[in-house]
Amino acid sequence: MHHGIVAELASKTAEHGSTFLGEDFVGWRTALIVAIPAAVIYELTMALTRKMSLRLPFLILKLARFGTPKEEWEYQSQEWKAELWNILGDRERHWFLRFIDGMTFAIPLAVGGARLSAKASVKAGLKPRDAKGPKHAARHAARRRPTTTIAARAGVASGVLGMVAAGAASQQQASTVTAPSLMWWAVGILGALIIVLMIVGTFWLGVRNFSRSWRPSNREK
Amino acid sequence: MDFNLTPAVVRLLQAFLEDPEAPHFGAELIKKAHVSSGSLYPALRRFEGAGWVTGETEDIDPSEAGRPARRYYTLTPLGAREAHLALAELSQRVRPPATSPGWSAGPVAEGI
Repeated sequence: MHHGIVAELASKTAEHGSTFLGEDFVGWRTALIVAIPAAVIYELTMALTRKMSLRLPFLILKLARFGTPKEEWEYQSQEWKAELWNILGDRERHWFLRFIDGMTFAIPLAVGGARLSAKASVKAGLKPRDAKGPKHAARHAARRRPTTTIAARAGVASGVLGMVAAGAASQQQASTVTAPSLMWWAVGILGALIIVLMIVGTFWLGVRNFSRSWRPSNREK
Repeated sequence: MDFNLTPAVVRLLQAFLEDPEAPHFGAELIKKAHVSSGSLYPALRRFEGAGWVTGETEDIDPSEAGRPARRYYTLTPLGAREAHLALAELSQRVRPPATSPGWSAGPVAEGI
């Protein structure tokens, strides 16, 4: 048996040169080639995860918009976003802990805290526009940008137009029984995909807008 | 006072009264008073409405500071007095009655 192993190693050495830990040069070279992209992919994935996870609390906070009156939302959300920004921007803490803190802050507001806060504000007679002074009102007015609305409208329009155009095309080619139904399936999937992309894009643009909105260079635009 | 003294409101008032003149921001109050953001902000709006606290936006240049301006809340003299009275009144209300068996010299549980 022992002689058998020696004979096997000897044959490998003869075939591919010297071996290390049972692998020859080709094996180690392959491992190295795979390891470099794997490390790069790992780092990119982690960076993306960090970036995305630190944006998620903002998306959750945006959900608080539903059920909150517009004027109250515009007044109060600035404060919440500033707090969230500060929570997530604390570089001394690990990103995952910041993410947990951010979610802990955003979720209670999204599930009803924002609505209650708006209700309490209205009941207490606080004036949203005057609460932060005319300076804030002017800044806020300058900060409004309709990119999310444009993205949403463009997405819906693309989806609907795509469906209509492909539907019309399928009617012209209605000579066979199966082709139109297949076409409708394809159009339906395409439309749904565009609408999903629109929703994701809207959220993404919303987050991007917020991150840029407080920069003075953008306020004057 | 047109609001209830819920446990969250009580803890919040205690946090304010620990240092009545210091301004506090939202995340700080959340940690200090152990309340959620969903309880904090409605309570702060009620306090503001009642004149117990005042809110001021931080006076910083966001581009220089590298972060957006926070909103700070400070207890007013009226708020400090009213909050103190409200908590004192509450502690009177929640005090066990004199007839409670806990006051008599009965058997005491170990470790107390």
